[in-house]
Amino acid sequence: MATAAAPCIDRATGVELYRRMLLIRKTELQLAKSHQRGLVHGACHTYVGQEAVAVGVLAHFGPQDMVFSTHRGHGHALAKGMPPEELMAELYGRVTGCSRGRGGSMHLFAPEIGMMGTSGIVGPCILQAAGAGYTFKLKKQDAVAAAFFGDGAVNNGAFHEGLNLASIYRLPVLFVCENNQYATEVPFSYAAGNPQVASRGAAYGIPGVQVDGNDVLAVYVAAQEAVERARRGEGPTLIECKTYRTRAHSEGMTDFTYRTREEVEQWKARCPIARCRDALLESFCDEEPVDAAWLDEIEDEVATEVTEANARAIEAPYPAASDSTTHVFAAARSPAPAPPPRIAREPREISFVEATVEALRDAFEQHDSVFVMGEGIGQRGGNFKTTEGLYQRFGGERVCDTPISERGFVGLACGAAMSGSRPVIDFMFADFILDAAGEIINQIAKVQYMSNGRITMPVVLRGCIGVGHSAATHHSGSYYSMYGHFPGLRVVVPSTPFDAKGLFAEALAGDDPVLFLEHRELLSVKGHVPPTSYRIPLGEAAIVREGADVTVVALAQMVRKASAAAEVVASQGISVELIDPRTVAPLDVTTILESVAKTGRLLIVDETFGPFGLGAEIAAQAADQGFDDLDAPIKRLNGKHAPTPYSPVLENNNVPHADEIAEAIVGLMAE
Amino acid sequence: MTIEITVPRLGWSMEEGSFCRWLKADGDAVREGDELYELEGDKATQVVESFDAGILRIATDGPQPGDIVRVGQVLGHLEPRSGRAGSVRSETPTRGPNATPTNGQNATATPAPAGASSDGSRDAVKPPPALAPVAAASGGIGATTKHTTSPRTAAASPSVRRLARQLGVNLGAVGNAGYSLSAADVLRIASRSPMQSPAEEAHAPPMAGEQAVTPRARRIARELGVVPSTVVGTGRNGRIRERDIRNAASRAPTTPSAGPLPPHDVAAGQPITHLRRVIAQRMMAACHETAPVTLTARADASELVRFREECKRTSDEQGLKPPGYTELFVKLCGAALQKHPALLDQWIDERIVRMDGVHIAVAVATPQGLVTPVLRDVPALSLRELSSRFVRLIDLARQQRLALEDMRGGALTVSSLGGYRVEAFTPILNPPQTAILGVGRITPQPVVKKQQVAVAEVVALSLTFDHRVIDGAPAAAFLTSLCDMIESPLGWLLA
Repeated sequence: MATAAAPCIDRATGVELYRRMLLIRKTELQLAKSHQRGLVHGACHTYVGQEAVAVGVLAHFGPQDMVFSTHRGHGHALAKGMPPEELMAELYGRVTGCSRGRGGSMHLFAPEIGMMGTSGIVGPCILQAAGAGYTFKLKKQDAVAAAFFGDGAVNNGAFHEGLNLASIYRLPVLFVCENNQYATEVPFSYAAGNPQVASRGAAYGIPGVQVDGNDVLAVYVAAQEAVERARRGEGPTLIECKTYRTRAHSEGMTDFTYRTREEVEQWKARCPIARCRDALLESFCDEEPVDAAWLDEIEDEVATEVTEANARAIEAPYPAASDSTTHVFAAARSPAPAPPPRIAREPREISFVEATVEALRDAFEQHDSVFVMGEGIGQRGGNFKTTEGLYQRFGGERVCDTPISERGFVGLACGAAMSGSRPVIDFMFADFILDAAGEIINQIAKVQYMSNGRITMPVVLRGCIGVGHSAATHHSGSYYSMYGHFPGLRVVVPSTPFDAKGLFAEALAGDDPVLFLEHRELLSVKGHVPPTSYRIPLGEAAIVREGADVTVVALAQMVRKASAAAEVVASQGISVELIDPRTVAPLDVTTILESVAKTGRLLIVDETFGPFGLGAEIAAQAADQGFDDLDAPIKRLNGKHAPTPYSPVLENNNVPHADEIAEAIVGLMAE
Repeated sequence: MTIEITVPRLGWSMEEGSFCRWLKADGDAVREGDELYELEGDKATQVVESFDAGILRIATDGPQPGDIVRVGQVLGHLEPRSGRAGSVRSETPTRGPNATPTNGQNATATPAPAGASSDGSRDAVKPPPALAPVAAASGGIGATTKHTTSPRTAAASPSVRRLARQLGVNLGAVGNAGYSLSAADVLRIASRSPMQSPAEEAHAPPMAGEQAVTPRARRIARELGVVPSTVVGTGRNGRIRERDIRNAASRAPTTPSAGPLPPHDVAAGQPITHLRRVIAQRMMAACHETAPVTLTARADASELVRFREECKRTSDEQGLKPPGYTELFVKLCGAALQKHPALLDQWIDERIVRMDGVHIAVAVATPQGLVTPVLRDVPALSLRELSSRFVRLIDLARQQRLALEDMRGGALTVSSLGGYRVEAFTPILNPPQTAILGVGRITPQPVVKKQQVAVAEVVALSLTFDHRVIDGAPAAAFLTSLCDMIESPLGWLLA
């Protein structure tokens, strides 16, 4: 832990810092007024009192450098160069707002100027800044990333995982803690076992610096050193800025239940802007003091700028209501893939996992920005040989081992994708990334939408699902229904090596987040796979077997079991049409409905749980759109609604088997 | 694009109707608004106009005149006038319970009674062989008639249909209310339904909605023109499935000569004809939804009989038809209604609405069943005008060509059983009408006149009125006035 050295900057820089802080202050006070007038529709977290931090740090940032921030992010956006009109229009819900009215106070996106977004969730910005740092390192770009977060974030796992990852990969990142002493209303002195944030840098082997966050020159100097260090490739720095917000957590909230008026007045007396003005008026290292009239003139200019910006923001139109569902996914940009070759003509047989490695290798060759991250996927080639041979060929930066830090590296992947990489996260078992569910669902799935389509999210999250071989409950889950529920995620669940290669290639080629879930019992299954590159579009079901009497929809391992069941009932004269949706999201309802129109009967076989699951969704769609085609009730056959046990006897009892599927088909025929 | 011509719903409870005839030939060019075919719906025969234009294509195996057709059934197609001709899929004719070949044969084999009527015999009109008339096809219980071409029958969700099955409510007979029936509707209907003995239940013919029918089977049935209620289900709990419908369709005779139903098959029973079902619905509705009271009175009709004889003699000389007793009673009722307008009040949609004219319905028997054509503005008509209009209505009724309009808007119905040895009876109301007059046989009877016993031509009148709408006194006052008018009729008849 170190303390910043005495500041020494030139006069022009000092005046510019002063002007920036004033711009933030006056914009915030205008927003506070507008909140009272009802112009701000939701929350309004002002930055009043903390202006020195954003301004002091971001004075060193150029357009190529990136900022990831938190719910109190107005100051960061303005300091990064966002015009006040865009910020105010955003809070007024207007189409000219920086997020086109999608975000409000807590979701500010301006990727054009390197303002990569603020988040309503405390913590993810730390991981995302690390991700941007990873992109800069991978692409050898001369750029740095900064994460701004409050003292409330440092007791969160993201802080721990993010700082550690940035440390081990020596990422060019500034972690700027704005210690304003309250996490909303909970005092940091109460919440922290070690209230010295800067001292925590040592835990991760990185420098930790504590500065007076109300002294813009001190912040400026500390940040300068950290930025230079980052640009030299020496890794991240943690900067703790001791500061205070002098307005309520959010406009309109009560303030004096958890702190006193006296305390607030004390800190108001330490106003960073007043202190900066005094410093400028006094002396200036070797230069003459600044003339007070000049500073007054600057203040008037800023006041006028804010007033005019506010007027324009108020006059700006609201977005069209019909835009409320656009940009959930990226616009399709790749040319339509060539139709996949027919399997029957291909003599070569390889395993499911080998097929995915081929697709991954092709993607590595096509895009330099593709990298894989996961536990044991480097030199070792992956627990399931999912990256076999890639480390040797593409090196450790693109085939990157991680600590057991799922939330950390998934959040890092989010930031990496936001900054222009195409990360592939190999999480081994789907159960493991539940620790990162917030990063997937709250961040990765939503960034494209919240940024109004200006940031794409080419993240592929791959790993194993499924019951078998006594893996027990923490290595047997599926979860595709859960992910399929959320807008912004693609969910792919292949059942054959041929499909696995084509669908994985498609996932890697696209700009959307994809969960690529591989049933572990299928990984070593062999099938005909052409050595050439090919892609299979997402959202196209495969008709595995044509039939006339009953439609069976099955996924992954259940496709094989349902095929066996179809053979059994064929001998009884029942003709089964077996459909493998292949992707849960998007779900090819059309193919299922066409089949049901033919057969009049629908059975959905799903290894995982019934409630709110894939079968429920398909059944609802069929009942809705195919009602007049149904000649029998829709049936589901699911795994038992219980965690997966270890003993083979117990495990066996919890998943559907071919004979049970056959029985269900016969039962359905009798309906 | 080829456009299907489907059977429209003509009345609120119409599930099926009788196809009368095409008014255009196969291959004719049809314009929008052209008269396309005639269809007998709820007792009214309507000319159906085309909504679309095109070349008419009538499949040779499509519905024949007299066939019972389901609402929504495809009768034919309109092909685009130019360009590629669409393919016409022939529709299997309906073989429902009401579409047995014998039914159609009956309709054509019965000698046309219109001839008898036009011969001058009034007997065919005077003694209508039924106890009560049936309401006009529309306007019953205040419902607005909806003409719809929707192919769907009774709208109800699967759960409501199940509830209906459990409670024994026949959704087919409830009719299409224009909205999906709720469970509450079914419970309400169930609470109104009469108790059925198990024996009756066993013999009750199957009706639509009683069995579970899969949505697909329902759709296929519509396409193939099969009435699901005639089919035995092979699914779980007897659920009717697609295969059952297809089997039924393939078993159905393709020509009318393919063998009649075995006669006197007690187990199978006789299918309920469409007309009988409509009558039953009307009668049940009247019984359940009105508060009927019947008043009886005897009147000396000697003057009336003398007047009729006079008319008959002069008419014969002039080669004209004399007015029948029915017309005389209608004319007198018109005068009595003017005097007692309380009887013009009707209970419609939870409001009391007074009819704006004195229109009187008359129960008329036809070979197809009982109909109730309406004579409008009776007080404004001379007896001769009234008589000639009545004759025309009867002719239309015999030809099954009464339009809905001819049966709407009656204020009171006159139903005469005077051709039989019936003295008095209890007519059932014809909703939404508030009163119905039953006329018995005119017979010579001893009467006391000026303290002397004398013989007079006496008629018994039975007036049923709806006590929801009016009380006993105004009804009695009406009946009293009518009796007075019968006893001194000339002034009223010649007014």
